[in-house]
Amino acid sequence: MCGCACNTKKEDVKVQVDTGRVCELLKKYKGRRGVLVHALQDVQKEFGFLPGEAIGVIADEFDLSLAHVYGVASFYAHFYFTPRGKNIIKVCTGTACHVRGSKIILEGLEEELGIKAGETTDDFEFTLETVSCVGCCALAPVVVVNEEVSREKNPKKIIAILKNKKEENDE
Amino acid sequence: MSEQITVMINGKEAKVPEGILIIQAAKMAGIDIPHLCYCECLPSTGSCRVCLVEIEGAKGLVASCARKVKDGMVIDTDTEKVREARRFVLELILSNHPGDCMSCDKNGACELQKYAYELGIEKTAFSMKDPGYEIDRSNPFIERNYNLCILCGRCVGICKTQGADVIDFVKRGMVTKVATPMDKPLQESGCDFCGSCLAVCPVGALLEVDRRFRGREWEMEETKTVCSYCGCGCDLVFGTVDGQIMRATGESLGDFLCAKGRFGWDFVESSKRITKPLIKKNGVLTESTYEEAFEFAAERLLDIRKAHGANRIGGFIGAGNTNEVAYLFQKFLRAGIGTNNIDSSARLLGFPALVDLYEALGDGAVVSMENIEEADALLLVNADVTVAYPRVGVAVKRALSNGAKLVVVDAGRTKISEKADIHIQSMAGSNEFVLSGLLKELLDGKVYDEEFAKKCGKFEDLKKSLGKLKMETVERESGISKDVLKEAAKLYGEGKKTVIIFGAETVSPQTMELIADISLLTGKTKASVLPCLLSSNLWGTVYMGALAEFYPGVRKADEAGSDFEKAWGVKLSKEAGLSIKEMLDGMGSSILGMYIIGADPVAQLPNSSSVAKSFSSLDFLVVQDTFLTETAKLADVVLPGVTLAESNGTIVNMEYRTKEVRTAIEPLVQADWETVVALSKKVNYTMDYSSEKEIAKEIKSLVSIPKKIEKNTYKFTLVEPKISGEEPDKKYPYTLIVGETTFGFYDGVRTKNSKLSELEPNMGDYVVFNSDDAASLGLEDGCKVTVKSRRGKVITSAKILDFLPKGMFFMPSCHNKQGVLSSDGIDLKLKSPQDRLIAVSVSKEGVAK
Repeated sequence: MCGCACNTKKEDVKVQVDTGRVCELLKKYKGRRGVLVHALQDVQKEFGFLPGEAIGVIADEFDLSLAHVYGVASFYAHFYFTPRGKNIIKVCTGTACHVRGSKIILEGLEEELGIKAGETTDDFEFTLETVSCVGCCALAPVVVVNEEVSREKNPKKIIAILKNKKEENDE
Repeated sequence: MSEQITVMINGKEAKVPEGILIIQAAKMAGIDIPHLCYCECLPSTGSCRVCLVEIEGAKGLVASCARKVKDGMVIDTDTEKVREARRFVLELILSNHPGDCMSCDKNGACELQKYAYELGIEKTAFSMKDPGYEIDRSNPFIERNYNLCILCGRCVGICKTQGADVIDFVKRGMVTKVATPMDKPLQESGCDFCGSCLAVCPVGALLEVDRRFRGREWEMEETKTVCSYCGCGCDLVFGTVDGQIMRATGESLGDFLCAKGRFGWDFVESSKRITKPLIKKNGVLTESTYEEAFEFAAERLLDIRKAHGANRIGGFIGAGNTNEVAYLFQKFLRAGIGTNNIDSSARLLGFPALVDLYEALGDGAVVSMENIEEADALLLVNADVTVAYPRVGVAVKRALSNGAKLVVVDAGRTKISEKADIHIQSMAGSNEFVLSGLLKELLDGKVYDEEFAKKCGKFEDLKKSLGKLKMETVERESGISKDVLKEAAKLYGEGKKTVIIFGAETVSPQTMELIADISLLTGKTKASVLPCLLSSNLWGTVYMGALAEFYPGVRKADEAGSDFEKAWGVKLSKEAGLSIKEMLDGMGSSILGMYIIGADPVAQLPNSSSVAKSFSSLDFLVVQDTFLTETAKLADVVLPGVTLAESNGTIVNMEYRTKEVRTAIEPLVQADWETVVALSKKVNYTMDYSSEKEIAKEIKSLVSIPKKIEKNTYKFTLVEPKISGEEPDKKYPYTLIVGETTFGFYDGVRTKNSKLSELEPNMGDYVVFNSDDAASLGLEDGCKVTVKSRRGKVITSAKILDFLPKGMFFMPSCHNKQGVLSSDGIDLKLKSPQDRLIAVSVSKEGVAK
């Protein structure tokens, strides 16, 4: 492996999971029932996705089978099993956004980033997704960039803003 | 018995027990309600909605697998409304199904197809669509085609109750699928390959790989017989087409079989089987005819007898042959040759100590799987049940789900110990101390049956000797605190129905005596002790007289000799014969000729390099076996043997049940009994039988199996606890444990010749280290290591897994490397070697120490 993630598949990326940290996150749920989804959310928040190893720890701690935990987690579109990018760009494809041209924004972003919707760039900078409605149809078309709703329609600009931000942070 | 109630089903009155499901009540009344997700052996999920019925007064249609009957209920299972609803449900299922019935192996046995036909679905209302999943053919046994899956959930349910619990529904909506965690292949997800999922699948989604395109359901001929692996002796139904085995299943839908039982039969069809007699000519085994081989073998055996006497000849038989073969073999040696030098691999697997246990407890030692399932407290001693005796493992799991308490005494962590209430992870070889400690805690904590114990002999002595036992000694030797033992004693002692389960080949005879004492002290003398046996016919082999001390019927030679003289019409020796260990020691001098059936002593006996030397020093060796084993390679004559799948006869399993073995396929070679009979004619002692049935008849007239022991008086044994196994020292500081693995079996002869070996990592050629030891020894996963004992050394690979405590390593028995290492130190009582715990040293290969 050359160090960067250029030739490795996303599924193969090994993320060092601090199992102690996972146990810590699960502490408050000890002995309680009906908390699996909360626990999964907490773990995803920590790692950005649900690493297999972390799911194993959750199963052990809750005395559930790995199959059961994975079954529950995979039920929800909200949980991810592969690493995601640092920046999550969600293009709304709900009815209002659709009729006002969200498809063009999506295609533009796909071209710009070189990935399809649902994928992550090889450098793990960007993940591109679609979302069915974010509840602000009056502003359509919208793009949700890292949880912030934006009316920016130019894909280049969206990415440039994020890249600039990164540079600012790096400096 | 619950109360009977009256219901009306399809206009007919039926009396059924209260509290059962409508679908069950209907079945009792002779009405089959169509169903897909419902399975008798599983809790209802009510998910498929095919079993809908109409109930008078109920709102809408009701799923009959999820509603219980009530008195006076009026049920209609076949109205047009019901049929219409079922049709709609099936059409929805079919909308996500490719409908490729023409090349599906389940055609004719598929439940989806059956109901679609019965409900007259000609054209589905929705178009049929192939979900387009890739078919998983990555493992050697189970083909998973989720395009055919109807998401009934039976496989998920049964994997939870008796499998390894590795599959569940994943995702949702139209893309819902049954999958392993992260959708990995089965072999990477901890699957045990028991194949229970496959057995309950109503469609073609899960299929035996071997069966694909080789025969349809209606062409299949079924033969009920017995599995040839461990002593559980599960019923096995072979499905054959044109004389070839297609699959093995249990007798009914939810019957458990393990990977070995369900899939491991393929060694029967291995191309490495011996098909022709072989005679060693100029040091090379060359094919010959039966006649030539018999002539030659008989001549040589007679020569030895003439020159040196009958007692220079010995016999050894494996414990996986039928009763009929074992009986005939010992008769051949005792009556035909004239020697009592006959022994069997039973001696390496817990005998004759088990005979003592049986005599101490009588029918207390007669336990069935049902006894375990109904128990409320279980004590498991040194038995990795889910791996070595899987059917027992399922029984324990079922007991646990019924609320039973479990105490496990085992140095290692196992799948069952993880479910235990108390796991006594004692140091290797310290079982006797743990059990003595338990006895003392039972007594001191007053969790015993005083009234009963008082009636047993030597109770006062037991009290006295336990009084002398210091718990500090127990703590020191076992590494277990007395509080844990106290708690365990309470948990076990307070059970109403208890069973002590132990691995017969892994514990010392003294441990067995301690187990008997625990059973007596708690007054539990009915079905309370189950010795887990590794070979399919251990009890039978012993009952048939294939153990040096005993004539058939477990009768001592001096006492039974004259009875058998009458029965067999020859003079017999009244002295006990030599055990295999004694024969081994005498090879080349007091033993000159050996006849071996279905056993590989060179591989099975410890200190194998010296064993091989002994066997090579024989004047004459004849081996009858299915494969060219290590022993057979040394033989002067090799006779082809048959497998259990090609035999007729009986075996006695670990529950003391006599089970019938039937030929599922045409034997590849002459049956074992016929070969022994033919050889007997050549040594001028004609044993004339026309079939196994005739042999069985003769056995029946001489022996009752199992021997019935009605006990009225019991007596304690009193055991001074000792550390068993080889003591580690400075030079050999670690303890190596030899044991079973999920996909390997005993000496590995069969599993090596089966596709099971593809699932066993490195075909069992590895040693497991825990991560602490691996770090201190500088080992990484997969690196080559040298393991040395006082006898020899082997090079193998390291595997790092944390299930044993520090300083203890595990080696699978199926690769048979332990023979070089293991100790032939003899247990005087058993005349058998203690070879499961070996003191070793370890170094990384290629690194000077």
